[in-house]
Amino acid sequence: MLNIALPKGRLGSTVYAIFAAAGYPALGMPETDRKLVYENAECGVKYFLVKPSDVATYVERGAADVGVAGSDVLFEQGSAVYELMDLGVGRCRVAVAAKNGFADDPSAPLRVATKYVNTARDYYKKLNREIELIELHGSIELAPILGLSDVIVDIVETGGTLKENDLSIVRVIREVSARLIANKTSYRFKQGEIAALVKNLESRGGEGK
Amino acid sequence: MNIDLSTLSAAERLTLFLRALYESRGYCLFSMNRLEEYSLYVENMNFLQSRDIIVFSDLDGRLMALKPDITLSIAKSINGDSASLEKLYYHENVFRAAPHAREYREIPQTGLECIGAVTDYDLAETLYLAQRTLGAIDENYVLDVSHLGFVSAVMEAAGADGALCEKLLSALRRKAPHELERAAKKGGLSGEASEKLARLAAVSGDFESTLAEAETLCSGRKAKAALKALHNICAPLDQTRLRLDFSIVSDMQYYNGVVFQGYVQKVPNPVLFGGQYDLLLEKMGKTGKKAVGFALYLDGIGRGYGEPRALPPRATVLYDEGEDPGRVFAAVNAEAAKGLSVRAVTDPNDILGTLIDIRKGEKNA
Repeated sequence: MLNIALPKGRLGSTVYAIFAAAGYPALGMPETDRKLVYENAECGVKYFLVKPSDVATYVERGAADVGVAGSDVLFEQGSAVYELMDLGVGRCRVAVAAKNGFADDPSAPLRVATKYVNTARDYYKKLNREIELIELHGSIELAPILGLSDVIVDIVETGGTLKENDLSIVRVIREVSARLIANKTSYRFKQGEIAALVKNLESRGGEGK
Repeated sequence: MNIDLSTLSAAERLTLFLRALYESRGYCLFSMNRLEEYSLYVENMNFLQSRDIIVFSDLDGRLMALKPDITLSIAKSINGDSASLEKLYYHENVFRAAPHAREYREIPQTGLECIGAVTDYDLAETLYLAQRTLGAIDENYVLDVSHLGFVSAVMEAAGADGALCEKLLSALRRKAPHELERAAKKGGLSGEASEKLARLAAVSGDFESTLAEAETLCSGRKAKAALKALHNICAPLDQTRLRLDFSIVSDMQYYNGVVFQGYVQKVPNPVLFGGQYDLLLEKMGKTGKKAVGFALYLDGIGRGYGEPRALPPRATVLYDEGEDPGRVFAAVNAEAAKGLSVRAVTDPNDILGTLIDIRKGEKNA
């Protein structure tokens, strides 16, 4: 039995459709009720629905053998997992954004509001730019509008929210997409099942889509 | 002194077994101080798994550290002029930052180091001991091996060097073929080279068949020699629990040749790390010497394989505060001789197990 951690929500539904099309459906999925576990003994899979940012933790600690997580989360958390495949969905960017017309003042530390603290720290360290990190957990776009920060580091999908709030992208830090991840021990002890899953996902054309 | 082994925890029994195992192969116990001069780590930072080290000033002004690693200290202690083969094992604690948590942890570690005129036999014996070590925890284990000479030959043949090589190795560690291919193409490597590098991440499985697959990835002299060396070293080992996997990429400034990692089924991450680190000795000025070793991390094993220790039944001797100590001793000794774990107390509310009440000179169950 392969234990699979999928993210709840929109990305989870998209990803589940890929798994189902690859031959791994589960009755009742996706998320018809408050159930968190769905099993298909015939296909040898058990799905867990977890918060997207928790998927890598479930997989890293072996509660799930494989899972699907965004590459933004994997980088931010520094998860010690294998990243077997780019599923090609959930595409977006981690970017620095600021109010339109923003000009950086290098004589003072840059105030950066974000939930991606490690990503932001790593990015500005490479630029040798002193920053003041402000950790937020939602409505990050508000920070520069209210003068809480100079810039934000956040996920940008279409750019619509930025535009509506008079913000724009200053620099793209990295491209993001959903990745199939695997626990290192499971990869050894369930290699046949995991390899078959990767092959089936690839053959339905998931990669690079 | 007679020791009842059933009273030992699984970790204590494992440690005793490993001591006997390593000593049966000529290894000597190496004990050391928990402190080391910080400069040793500054000079060899990339050898460490993490840069977070507990540092403090000693009374004479020297910067000291609580050891985050044992191998460096052993390598430092080896006499560079001696021609003898040093075979040392240890059971020590290291101090490292816990992953995903802003705190340090003290991690018990057992391991061995073989330093000097290391031959293919010594390399094979080290891998054999790694297999026996893992087998002592769980017969359902696997030992994954790789050869850094082969990995660097594949990189070289593809035309990757410097920063690009670092990016490719990072993707290889994560077994991310898509990242390898992207980085290779972005780095200007040919389509064929990019495709081969991506395949390298997926080459993983039982030793013999995967070795044959690896041969198709690179046909250069250096790559062939590395695979041949790996074959020779691994031939005497238990093949049923041996895998080949090129995602094991230790720092190439220090490690060369064979590298390996061990897994047991109930622990979600590797528990044993090892490899050949001739380059570390060279960097330390101990030229002409070779070295190989491994460390077993015992912290994760307890959770997966710890079993509740069978504690002896308990008894409590209850006595008056002014009682003659000799009389209390006699009562405690009598119960302890029956195999009970005995406490002596004066508070009637502090009774555990069988009560032996000598206040009245009577025994009550």
